[in-house]
Amino acid sequence: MTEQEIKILLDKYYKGLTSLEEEGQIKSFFRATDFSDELASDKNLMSLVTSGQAFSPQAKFEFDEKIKAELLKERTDTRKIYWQWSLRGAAAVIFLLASFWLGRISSQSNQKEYLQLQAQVSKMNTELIRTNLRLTSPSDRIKGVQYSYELNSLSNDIIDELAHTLNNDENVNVRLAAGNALFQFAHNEKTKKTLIESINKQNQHPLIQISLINMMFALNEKTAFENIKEAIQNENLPFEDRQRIQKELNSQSRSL
Amino acid sequence: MSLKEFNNLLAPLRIKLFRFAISIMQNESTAEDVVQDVYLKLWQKKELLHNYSSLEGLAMTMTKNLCLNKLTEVATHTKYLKQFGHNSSSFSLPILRNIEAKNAKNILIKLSAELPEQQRIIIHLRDFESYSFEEIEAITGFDKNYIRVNLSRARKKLKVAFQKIESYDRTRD
Repeated sequence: MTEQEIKILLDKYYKGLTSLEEEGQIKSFFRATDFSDELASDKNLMSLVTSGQAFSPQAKFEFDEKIKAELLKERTDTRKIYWQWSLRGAAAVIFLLASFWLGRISSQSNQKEYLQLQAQVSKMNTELIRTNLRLTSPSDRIKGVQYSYELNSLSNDIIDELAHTLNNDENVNVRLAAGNALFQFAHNEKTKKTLIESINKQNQHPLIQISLINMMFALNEKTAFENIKEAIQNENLPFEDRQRIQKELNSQSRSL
Repeated sequence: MSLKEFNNLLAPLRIKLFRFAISIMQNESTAEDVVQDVYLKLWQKKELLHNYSSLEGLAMTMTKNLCLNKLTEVATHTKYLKQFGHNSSSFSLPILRNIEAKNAKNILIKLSAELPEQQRIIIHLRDFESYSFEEIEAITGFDKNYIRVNLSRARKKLKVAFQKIESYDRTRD
């Protein structure tokens, strides 16, 4: 293939009009032929884009093992999951009935029964959170976390459950959801303390660590400053972020 | 379907799915989460898999959808923090910054991170994985013309960006 022919093909390539076969011809041309400087940048780009190696994962043996373990767990936990689904079904029915009675009772201004039922609904929600947080699928666990938004306040054991999820869940999105859920109740001292303590437990998860630090900055929470200072030393945080956090820390410390 | 059959059928796709997820998420650990979720979802619908004409197409589509959901979650999270008076422009999330383009892989990651998501998906499927336009259409749901136009834009942007890097290197030398 001549340079003139390859230029025509390259023109088609950049217009998105080449067939797979023609793209193969361009690759072979740049692998095998001497060509003028004019085509050097096309060659470099082509060898990068078509190398197919750009995003190859490094050897990750534990990744395969993780999938296998999850699949086996999923399989052996079938009975447990049926039980959990039954519980969730029952909880939904009770929740529906309770909501119905709540509506009736509140209209009759029967304060005592209203409060009792409200407590029952809250208990059911708590149970739903606990059940979902133990499910295998990350999206189910996120749903569990989201049930907490329906509660007026978090009991100590739910704070512990969410804290455990925030610090230990293997899925970063579930951790993030748990952090956000706790942030909703950050006016509660125990919740706030949980969020602050979690900052230095997220050294392997910069995304979560930065979110927690941002939350503390949003609250202007000076008791978190020591933990934030320690987090700045975490080398897993991008340098640029560490600089920005330090700057924000200085500015908030000055305004105290 | 036994676990062994499932593995024989789908394990060979793992690297391809992983590579695709990294190209969208630009982050290895999140990509790993996505691929794991894809495998779990496939396992959950294992009895229905024979209804699909291409398992690879199905797995790639699921990977794309899960990645886009996760990117939306991150965007929502940033928006949520903004509501509390936090200026996200000074604290954006740490997706692949500070990359020093020391080698080819890093250059390409850095350049493709500049592309819009859809262009990143399309150029990955075509140029890295050599899918036909029909296959890309099935995975992404975009029509052929849209794919061609965005493929062209992505290739041109990469070329221009790459030339800038080259001229910068030349001026340093």
